[in-house]
Amino acid sequence: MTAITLDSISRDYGSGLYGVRDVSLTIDEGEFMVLLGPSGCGKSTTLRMIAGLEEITAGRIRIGARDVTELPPRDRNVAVVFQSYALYPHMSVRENMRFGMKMRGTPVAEQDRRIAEAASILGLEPYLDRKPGALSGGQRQRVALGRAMVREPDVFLMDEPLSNLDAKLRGEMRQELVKLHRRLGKTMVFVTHDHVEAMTMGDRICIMRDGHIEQVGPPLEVYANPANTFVAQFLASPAMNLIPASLAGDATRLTLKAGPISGDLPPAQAALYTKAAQEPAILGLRAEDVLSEPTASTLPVAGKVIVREALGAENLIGIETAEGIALSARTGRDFLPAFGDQVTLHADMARMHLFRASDGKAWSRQG
Amino acid sequence: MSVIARNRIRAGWGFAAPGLAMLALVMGIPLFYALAISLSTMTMIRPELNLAGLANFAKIMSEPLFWHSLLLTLRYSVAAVIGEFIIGLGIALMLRQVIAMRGFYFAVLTLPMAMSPVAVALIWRMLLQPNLGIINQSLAAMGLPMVDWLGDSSIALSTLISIDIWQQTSFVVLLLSAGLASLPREPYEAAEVDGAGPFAQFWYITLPLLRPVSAIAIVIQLINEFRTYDLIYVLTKGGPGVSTELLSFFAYKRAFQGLQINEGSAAAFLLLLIILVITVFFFWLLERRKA
Repeated sequence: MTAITLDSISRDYGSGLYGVRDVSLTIDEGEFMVLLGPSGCGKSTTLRMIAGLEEITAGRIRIGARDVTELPPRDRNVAVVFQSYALYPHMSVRENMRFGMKMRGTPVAEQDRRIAEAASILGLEPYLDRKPGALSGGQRQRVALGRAMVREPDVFLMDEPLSNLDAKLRGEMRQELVKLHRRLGKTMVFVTHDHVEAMTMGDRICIMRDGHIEQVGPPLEVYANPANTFVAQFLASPAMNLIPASLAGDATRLTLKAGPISGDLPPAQAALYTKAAQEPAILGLRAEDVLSEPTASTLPVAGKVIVREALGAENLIGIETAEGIALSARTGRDFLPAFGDQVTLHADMARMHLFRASDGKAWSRQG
Repeated sequence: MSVIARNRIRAGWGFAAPGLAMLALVMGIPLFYALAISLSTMTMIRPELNLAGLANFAKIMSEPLFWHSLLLTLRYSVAAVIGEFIIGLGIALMLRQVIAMRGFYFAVLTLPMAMSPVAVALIWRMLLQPNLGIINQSLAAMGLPMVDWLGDSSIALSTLISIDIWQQTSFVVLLLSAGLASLPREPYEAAEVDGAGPFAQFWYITLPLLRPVSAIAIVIQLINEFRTYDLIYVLTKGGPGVSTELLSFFAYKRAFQGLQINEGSAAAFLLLLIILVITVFFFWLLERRKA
């Protein structure tokens, strides 16, 4: 049993400064959990607290059945892959991998067997006698992974391990890590600020802000049902369009007015958001739900083209409406207006999100 | 070579020229003059510069006293450097853990380094005075026998080495502290997770990573120790007998007491040669490790 349980953990730096505040989370055995959030949100601190590298000022951490809150890192049987890789610069790749096993008194024959196995999985055989300084970033990354693997830990903790790689390598390593996770079946906690990594790798993602958790769930579920405007905006690029809105009417006919977008909502949405009619709201629209052609559930919105990014497979179009509201749309590659063109886009209300203006929470989550 | 490269090189020489000229004036000319003297028949009594080839070198190298001095210098330097390095590393490691009053400790620890060796020697001469010195008085007060620290030929060299270590360790502390401060934090965290305790971290991470700085500290201190002169001059004048007559003092005595300035210069040049060899060897070792 190597589930990880965080029970109301906090990291208090004194004088009211918190790195992490009252975080509770259960990471299941064998799960790939991604901690996602902007810089300073506490995701790395949380990971370091699990590793034992950061002091826990309140709360308990359990790994499996063991309470590890007071244990030093070496007694937690976790392996950490650091953002900077943290390889031992004076040791060869082989010695780097061997070090942890040597410290734990693993028999030499077993050390050699595990190093050979990890090197073969990670393609490191030709580099075993090189020092880290003579390796590329991607190779160092693999050595850091190999060093973690040979230890055969209960838990893998990874702190933004892909952020120093170039885009192509990052994509490859993403897939390799997922493969590795399936192969080893170990519990992994992966910290990143990149929503693409989170979406593609995690069994579940945990989005953090200002030292606390905003939402936890499987990637697609979180994407489809963001708990609040922060999650909605963070988990996509371009970020979700947010427009101040008000609703009027009842379940039979609910009319929306959000800046340049106004009209009746489709029946399903009308039923869902009837209660929202009493107070100010925020309309949320993902860029891919702002279409170039109208459908039965769309409302039109006109504006001047101010952003125009042709990405090949698709285009990102940004418009500014007469009210000064900016709106981004992800359109097919055939829709490519010129800068300054007046265009009419179509907001798909069947896929709209609605948040309460007062605290940014999603209406659909408030029952 | 491109015009840009040529101009850059020219500018470099331009900037270096004043310094180089100054060095040539105050170091190059005297050095060359000393070399000329060492190859001549010149003495204080007959100060003519007639070339004599390597005769002076051959002469001093045929003397047992020269070899005695050389061996003594080696023993002195190696013992002092080992002592300074071990104590210096210990202090630097402790200072690394200190947060409060760190600046104060550094200031206190660097005081000996700021003192002139002659002043240090004079202070220690008073402390070690056989009858009235505070050290022997303290020993007597505790009912222990008094020790003739500088007058007993079996311990005079050890006494000098201890004083040297007292004064020079602070420089090693400074160098090693700078080295420790520049070590990356991450390998330590990795080692902690890997299961290494404090001693294993020191042995497998700190010591190897500190190797370049250590080598530099050792070379600088070896050179310093090889040149030791002031302490000897003030405290023992090479005695008792010749039990503390280091090579630098041998050269001094030969030139200014024996008035054989040519032989003294030859001895000094041999000392310079030894220092050069050590320096080149250490840097070669360092470069090889890097490669």
